[in-house]
Amino acid sequence: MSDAVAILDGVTYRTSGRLLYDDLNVTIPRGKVTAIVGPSGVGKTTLLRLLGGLILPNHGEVRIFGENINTCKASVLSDLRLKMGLLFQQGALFSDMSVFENVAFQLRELTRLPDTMIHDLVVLKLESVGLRGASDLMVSELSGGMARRVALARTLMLDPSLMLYDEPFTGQDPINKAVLLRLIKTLNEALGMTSVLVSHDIKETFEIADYVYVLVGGRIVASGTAKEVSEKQQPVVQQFLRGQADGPAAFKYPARPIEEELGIE
Amino acid sequence: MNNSRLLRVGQQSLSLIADMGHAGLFLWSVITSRIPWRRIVPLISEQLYRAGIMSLLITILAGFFIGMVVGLQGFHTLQKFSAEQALGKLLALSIVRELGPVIAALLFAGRAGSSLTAELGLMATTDQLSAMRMLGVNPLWRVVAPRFWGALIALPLLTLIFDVVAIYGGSLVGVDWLGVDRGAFWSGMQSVVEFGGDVMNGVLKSGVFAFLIVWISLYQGYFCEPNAKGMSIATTKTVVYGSLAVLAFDFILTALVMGGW
Repeated sequence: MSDAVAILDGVTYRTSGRLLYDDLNVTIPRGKVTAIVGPSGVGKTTLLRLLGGLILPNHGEVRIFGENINTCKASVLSDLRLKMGLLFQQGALFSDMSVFENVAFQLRELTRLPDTMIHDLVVLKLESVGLRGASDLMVSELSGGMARRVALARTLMLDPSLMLYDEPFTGQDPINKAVLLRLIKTLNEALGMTSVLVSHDIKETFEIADYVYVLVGGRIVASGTAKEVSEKQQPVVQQFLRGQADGPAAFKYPARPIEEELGIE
Repeated sequence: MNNSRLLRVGQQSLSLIADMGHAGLFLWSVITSRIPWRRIVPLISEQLYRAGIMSLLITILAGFFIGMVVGLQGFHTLQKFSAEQALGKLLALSIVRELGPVIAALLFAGRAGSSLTAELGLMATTDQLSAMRMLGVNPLWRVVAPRFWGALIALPLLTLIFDVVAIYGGSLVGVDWLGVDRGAFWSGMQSVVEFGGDVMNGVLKSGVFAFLIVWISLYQGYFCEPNAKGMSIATTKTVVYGSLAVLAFDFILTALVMGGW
């Protein structure tokens, strides 16, 4: 894919002595919704952190908009981040600020816009996630789902070209889920945004993804369109898509035999 | 056995040196971070309120009681030598030179230092610092620098307030309760206390203590392990390391000022 917004090229990453990825290659095409799916603990969130430059790989390169973020200057990385947004799993809202101030944060810190304009822009963003009425609430007064939507409004404030979503559907009720799905798809189509979606909600993710990577055991085991991936006959892909405990992807953490642990002859 | 013990000591020493280097780099990044001045002034005022005003009550109460205790103890000791008229001198010098800066700093480490660590630790644990980076704002200047400068200004001011309240507490006990001559109490104090040599040295000491406490607090909070146990360890370390640093540097500064070295 020549028109790629982000590329992970031969990335190896270790955390707490554990090898999370070994020679991982992922390409994020421009203007598409790319989904990365895989079992829990496989390192999907870590992959988004690598793309955001929050952590650096042990080996390999992470290139965003053509810049190698391992070697670029801090000021270049900071400018790159203005072109991307990361929706954190728990929202990561600033707990000492109201909903309004959270959404207005970038405008207050990075621009010199007058208060009236900031007010109007924040109201419009909050309206787009259905939380205009909650602008005066403090973060502690929000439910988990609401916090995620406020965080989305905050992340979208400067209309980033690349959006990284970390489990956006977890903890959302069916109505919010449907609205979020439409919103992600609309943002991509209307604003020409590129999205990377990390999730294990297969049904919702496959509905909007243009391209899917299946990450298991630190490697990409399958990739393609949602239809292509669904039709793959690899046991590990089928096990994950059908939610089966037994198969090549380990459900149980390695342990000695239960008979031995319970002292049964 | 001995080799493994030696190895452990070596590893711990290396880790300690690496930690100190890390903390030094962190401090350097905070001090040299490019700060947009139009934003930093209101942020520092807010931190002055949180670190300074919020610690005011505990500082005033502690100062008052310590002044009264020094007044009471001093009176009974001086009385044995018929020198109770020197109570003003004893009280002022001990408060302004030593007790004021040290006790205000210890209270500050417990009240404001632990609160700074817990606040930053929670922000790190809940990804707020990472979110800030992703929004293109450097948390070092937006979160850490205002707290650093706010605390650095707050503690010397709290120390001055502590000194005033403690001397008032001592005068209540010595003059109003135990009957030391009011004129001898205040004139004795005026004759021995030098503004530059005593009061300003105390303020300078408290500036150094503030620097140490806020450095330790912010470092422990910013790099704490992102879970409940990590936050608890970081907060404890802030109070323990902060208090020990205050006491150790108190000796060093006193020795330097008194010309011992």
